[in-house]
Amino acid sequence: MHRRRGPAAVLATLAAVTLTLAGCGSDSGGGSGGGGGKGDDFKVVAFTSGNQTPIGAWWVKAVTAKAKENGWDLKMIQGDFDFQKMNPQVESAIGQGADVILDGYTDVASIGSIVTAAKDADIPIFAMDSATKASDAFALNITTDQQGIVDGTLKVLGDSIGGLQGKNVMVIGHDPHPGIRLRADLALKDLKAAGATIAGGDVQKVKSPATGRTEALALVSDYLTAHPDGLDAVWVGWDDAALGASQAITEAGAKAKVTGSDATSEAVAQIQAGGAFVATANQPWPEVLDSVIDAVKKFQDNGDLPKKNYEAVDTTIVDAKNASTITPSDKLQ
Amino acid sequence: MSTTIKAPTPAPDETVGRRRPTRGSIGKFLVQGGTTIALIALIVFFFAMRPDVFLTFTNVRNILFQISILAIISGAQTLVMVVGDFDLSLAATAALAGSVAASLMLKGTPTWLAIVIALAVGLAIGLANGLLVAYVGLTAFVATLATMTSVTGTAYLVTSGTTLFDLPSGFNSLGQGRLLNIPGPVYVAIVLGVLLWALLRFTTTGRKWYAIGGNVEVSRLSGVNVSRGRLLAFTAAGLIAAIAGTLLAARLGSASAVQGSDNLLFSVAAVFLGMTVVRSGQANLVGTMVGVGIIGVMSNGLNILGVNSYVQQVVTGLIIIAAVTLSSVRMRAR
Amino acid sequence: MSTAVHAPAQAPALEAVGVSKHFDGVFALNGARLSVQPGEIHALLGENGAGKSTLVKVLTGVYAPDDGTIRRDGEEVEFANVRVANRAGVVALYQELSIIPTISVAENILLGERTPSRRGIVQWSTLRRRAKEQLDRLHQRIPLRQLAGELSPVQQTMVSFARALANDARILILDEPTASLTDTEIQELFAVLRSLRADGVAIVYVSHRLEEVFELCDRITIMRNGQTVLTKDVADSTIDEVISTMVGRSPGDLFPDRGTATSDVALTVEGLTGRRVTDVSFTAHRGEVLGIGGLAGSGRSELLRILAGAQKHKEGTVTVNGVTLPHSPGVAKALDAGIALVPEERRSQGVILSASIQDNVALANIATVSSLGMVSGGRIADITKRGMGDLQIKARSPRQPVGELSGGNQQKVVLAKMLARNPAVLLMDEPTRGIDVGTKAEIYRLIRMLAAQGTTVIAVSSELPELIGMTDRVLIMHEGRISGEARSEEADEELLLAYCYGKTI
Repeated sequence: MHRRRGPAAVLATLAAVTLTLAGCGSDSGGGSGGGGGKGDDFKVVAFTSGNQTPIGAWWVKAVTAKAKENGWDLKMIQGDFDFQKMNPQVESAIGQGADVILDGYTDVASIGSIVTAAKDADIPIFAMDSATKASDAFALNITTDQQGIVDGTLKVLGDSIGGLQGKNVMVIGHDPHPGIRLRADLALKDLKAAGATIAGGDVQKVKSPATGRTEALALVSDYLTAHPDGLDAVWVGWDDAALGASQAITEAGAKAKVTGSDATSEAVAQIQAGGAFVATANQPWPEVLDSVIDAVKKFQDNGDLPKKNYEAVDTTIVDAKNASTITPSDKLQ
Repeated sequence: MSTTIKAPTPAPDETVGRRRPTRGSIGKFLVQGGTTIALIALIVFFFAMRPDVFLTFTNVRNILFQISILAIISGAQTLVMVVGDFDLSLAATAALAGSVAASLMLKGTPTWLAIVIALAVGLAIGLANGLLVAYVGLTAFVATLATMTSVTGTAYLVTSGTTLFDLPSGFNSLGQGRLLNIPGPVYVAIVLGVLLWALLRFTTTGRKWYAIGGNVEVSRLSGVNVSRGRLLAFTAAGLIAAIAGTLLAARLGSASAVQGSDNLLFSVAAVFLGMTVVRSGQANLVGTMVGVGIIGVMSNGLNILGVNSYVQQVVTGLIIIAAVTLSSVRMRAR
Repeated sequence: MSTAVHAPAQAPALEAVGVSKHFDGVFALNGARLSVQPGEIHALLGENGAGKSTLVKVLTGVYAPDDGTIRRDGEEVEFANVRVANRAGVVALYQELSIIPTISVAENILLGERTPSRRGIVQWSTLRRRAKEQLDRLHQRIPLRQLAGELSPVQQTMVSFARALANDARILILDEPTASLTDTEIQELFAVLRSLRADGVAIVYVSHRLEEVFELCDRITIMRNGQTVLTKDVADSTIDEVISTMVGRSPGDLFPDRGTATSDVALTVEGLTGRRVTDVSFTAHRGEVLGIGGLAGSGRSELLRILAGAQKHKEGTVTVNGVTLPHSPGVAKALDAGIALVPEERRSQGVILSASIQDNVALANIATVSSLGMVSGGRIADITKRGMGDLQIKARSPRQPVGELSGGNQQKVVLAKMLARNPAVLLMDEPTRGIDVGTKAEIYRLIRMLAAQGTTVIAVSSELPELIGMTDRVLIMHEGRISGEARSEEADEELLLAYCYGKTI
């Protein structure tokens, strides 16, 4: 049979190693598939498209740790923002059988085919920050309260420039990101309601998150050249772009104030330093993950799904007063 | 078999126009100088729209500051396109160099050493591209696409996917400090631009690059070491991209794996625009800078007029099509 | 006229003895020899495939010979690659590879290592002075700062000569150097070659244009089937002898018999006027081969292009088998009406070199080979095989890229492509340009075969003997008008030439 012993031996070794790696944590791969929770080989498929962002990278690590802690058989799929690559991988993992699916930070609009596959196989999806409102796609989706973020950042902004009434405020957003888009629209509405004038008349759009900082930098400095003293504040949907806006303001020697969202360490440090950057929103991801994992454990134990499938938790607004106490989102352990 | 009909004088269409380009008429001038005229027209247009703002010292400084990094990367792209290739990995190389410098400085490496290492990384990537293209024989598209992917991945590893900041103030002042009220990167871009222009114009290395880009076979047979020429062009481009990336990190005071990724497409666009400026249709430094100017003036001017950034993107593409179309009309007219 | 001598008093500048080279077991060269004296222009002749280009490649270090010896000034040498051969003073110049279009004339002449520089900086004034010296040797006045790509073909050739001279070339091998030159330019080139000869440069001249060879060269070497069959002084030879030696038969056999023309009118052209064509009227018959002659620029090619629908016209009508075509019909409608054109620029207008034979054939016959928008591979293969058989196209398979075929076979692919449409009128512009004598004879036979089948063939040619030999009737054009007409059997070259210059007698 074995005409070529060498390669066959290598293959056998490889297969053994692969099995060992795959089976790590649980005894062996029996393959029960579908249905409620039997204890020892509870199969979890987890995926995120945002693994290249600091928070996404944290989520991958944290979920892997939780799975080990609970003795789950975890398959982690990292999508690199490439749904064409990620979705089929997740679907084939579903096809091989799973008890629960975890979605981290991947918007429901991008995973239609996964949702269908999960529904067909009758597997619940537990998600965090994957839709900005209740959706049938998920057994549970916990996200942060976008209105709360807008309320909090606008309050700090208003306080720092002596009220929003009659002030010129620029809003910078990025439409393809559902969270940022929702916040920017809410901020625009609330700013108008508060009597502020919107610089440029509408949300200023950044083309790509990768170049958010340089784009916002050019946008704000050009606006300030065209309208010297024409800005009292800039409300930005996420910290990276907010940092560009605040740099533009500092370089132009303007007095305008900036807020962001996400509580990256760089933003937190700037807020502490007390420049143009006055506030950001810290979203309590470790707590959110704990809640999601608790819900999964309940399902594992007795097959119960959460009564409410959508929850928006409060965020902490970071300003100069509490900045020193915050763990930045990119420093999560 | 002894008589062959041949024209005693050359037939009109075989000689007219091919000996020397016709010149003189205003129409010809408009077509020939299309790209430069586009830049001037843009400047005049924006000046007319906002005479109080557009040509003020502050705004001109703004424009120069904004395009300085793109100008450097486009300079690097010009070198590679002179030898007839192109480099997709330049923006990724720049981002990695910035990330390497930042991460080393955060670990306590002295600023100068961190910069030197970052530049060495860029040089090494350029060298790798050059080896793959000139000696292994991969096409520039495949080789630099592959290195771009690996380089970006490496940059994610170096930064752990985060944005590195809190860099030494001495480093940041390279990108943010001003001399005579003009920011540092503008000087670097001008000095590098002049150096590269002289390199391409006056040195044997530069002239060999043009020879290679014009006709590889004739160059080889004339004793030009084609492989070494291409290797050198890619290596120089990698080093220059690393300078741009380090400067970008200093300018922003931070570094991330995908910082400045839009510079890649803009650099190729700038070189293409620049190729329409000269008669030979070759990549050239002056033309590239005209191209960079068009891109920078467009973006700044449209921002000042408050035009939506999506519309800006559409208009930028249309300008490129218009300039290149004009120049191909010119080629046909020849 | 000739400075060369029968028995060389000095060692040959370059000599090849008993050179053999085979590829995949097939001999391309089998004991070939060539001996070139300093200060002579030596023609290397032979049909395509006779081994000329392989021999040139062995002489210039592209190929290493399997067997045989190469001597340079009497000393045995081995050229490991082209650069080694170049350093030894042996340079081959190919038309399409002669210059770098995007840099200046001066830089083209002193490329690479020859560029004068100090510490890596180009010394422009020295460069221009030395480049000018080389051009002066050739008596050429070409602006040194101009881009080489903007020069005329002959000037480009001169620049490549100047570069070869700057590289101390002593043996120049020229491959069809006159292919894209006008008559005055050719004379200019010959003057330069003669002055190089006077300077002691040895020149190997590869060409299909025998008239030029007899005008310019001192000796000829003829190859056939990879072997050298004759070396002789030009003064002692004749064109007929050369042709019969090249093809292995006498040139009288070159043209097939006439006599296929009928009295049925196939094509009527009335008052055709357009760019370079003025008020042209004529008729052509089924089975007739009609030649159209005239000087370059006389409107011959334009006439064909208008008939084929490839060029618009102002006035006049074209009628094929009783059906009058619409005004400026366009190529597709003209093809449908039965008029097909085999263009002059085969490589750029006739075939797609990178595509296979059958894809080229399919292209002109999409309607025939497809139904409901789907192309039928079987039908393509059928018509391609038929065409390859009828025309005796030498190729490995219908899937072989056309670019790999010889010039003659490429021309046959163009024909096959058009013939698959069964045209009533076949227009051919310079059907034998750049084709060797043997294949020429085949093309003539094919033309006559088509005529025998009832096709009307209208062919433009610059060579009067060909124009007379392959046709039944000849029309001569001068400045867009028909200036003369003759039956080929009775045609007299001098009379036709007079028509060409517009003398109506």
